[in-house]
Amino acid sequence: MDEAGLIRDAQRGNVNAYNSLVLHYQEQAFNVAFRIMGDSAAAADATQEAFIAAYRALTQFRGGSFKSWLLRIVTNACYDELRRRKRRPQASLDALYVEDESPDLSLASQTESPESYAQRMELQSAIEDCLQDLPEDQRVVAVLSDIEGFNYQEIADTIGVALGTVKSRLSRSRSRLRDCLQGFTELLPASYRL
Amino acid sequence: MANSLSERDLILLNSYLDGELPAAERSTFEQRLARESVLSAELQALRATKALLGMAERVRVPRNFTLDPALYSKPARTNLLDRLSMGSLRPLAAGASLVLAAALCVGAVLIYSGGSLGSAAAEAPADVAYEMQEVPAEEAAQAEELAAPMAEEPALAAPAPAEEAAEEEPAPEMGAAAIPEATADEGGANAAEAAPSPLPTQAADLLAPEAEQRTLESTTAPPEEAVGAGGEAQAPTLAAEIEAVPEEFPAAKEDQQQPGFSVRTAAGIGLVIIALVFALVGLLILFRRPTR
Repeated sequence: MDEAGLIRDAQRGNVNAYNSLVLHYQEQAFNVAFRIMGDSAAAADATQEAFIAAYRALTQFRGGSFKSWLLRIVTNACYDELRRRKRRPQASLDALYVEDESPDLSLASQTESPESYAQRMELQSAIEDCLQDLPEDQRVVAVLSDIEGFNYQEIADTIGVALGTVKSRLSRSRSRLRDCLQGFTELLPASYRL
Repeated sequence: MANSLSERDLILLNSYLDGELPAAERSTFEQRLARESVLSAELQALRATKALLGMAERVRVPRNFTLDPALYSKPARTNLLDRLSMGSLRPLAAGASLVLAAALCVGAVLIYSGGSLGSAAAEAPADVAYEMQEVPAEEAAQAEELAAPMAEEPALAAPAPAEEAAEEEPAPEMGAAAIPEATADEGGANAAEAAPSPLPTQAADLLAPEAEQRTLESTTAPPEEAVGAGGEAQAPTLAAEIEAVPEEFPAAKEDQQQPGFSVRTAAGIGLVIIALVFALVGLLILFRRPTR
């Protein structure tokens, strides 16, 4: 993918070029949003808003890492949505009727036993619960570092903070995650028991 | 376990775990890890935590987040010059700009010359006055003849009209006319011949009989009657109007006083500048190639 060329075309108003970028980054953007929001529908809304906002602000992109620039917009959209929810907490009526709102995780292989699948799903649930227990700023750093695999500088660029802030937030978030995950020891594989 | 470690040590541990520690610090920290069991135990716990988080599965997107081209496609941005330079609009736009520029130039010239005409018009009453003065000149000569024998006595008896005439004459030309008036009082018709230039001569022709008329009539009638005394009194009336014009139109008076800094000149220059801009735009439209 010629990212620079697509960005250039998109800046000139070529929506199809921009959509190519969207298709390339949408999974990562949605996963970051989902880990931050903890809710699939809210994450989808935030991701869509972020892609629209990014398209409108595309002329302001002056080079550098497009991924960091885009994910910064995604994280900001998530922050905005979370603040909105704090101001006006509301229960979704749809949640009353939808039995399973959990995200569509990768399907289990046909060789995977039901027990293994259940254990895997419980582990995913434990990780998600522990992430949601973190303060927002620590959660974002943990997601970008340990789930998305960003290095410290990429995290600093994405969330717009100093490198030292990234280090301290990550240190605190990992300590809290470790304490949280110890409560799910029986779910963890033997090699991962804390 | 972590409680026994300082925040700095925890940051060092995480940086070491993530490979973000500089080489020099890394070797030093590894020596500490070998010595301090608490530190190495915490490192194992953090490593397991990181590995567990790494087991978080990717979530499938519920839908594509692509934008609808029908809603978000915006036309390619072209500037106004480009749009005007395209297709059949090009000669029309260029012609309109050039015609407008020419019209503005003509307007500027008219305004500028209008300023000159305006000042000429301001002077026109004076010319009219001079012409009007020529008509009663013959009558004035007759009046001079009448006034000559009485020249000494009325001048002494009626100094007020002469002073009034002097007061009514703030302009230089009228001031110049006052000199022959005085000489007329002294020497009669010779005052006109002693005038230094044609203009004062005409003024003297006008004002000498006027003053004499006043001196004549001042002995018998009040000045108001002299003013309304038929055709012979038209000259002072016009002279008063000449003076009244600059008072009613101070701008015109300023124009006369400051001919190099008039509003009309500034407006003319402004129009010329606007015309030049339009001409430039027209030429650009005519000869420029669109960028897209």
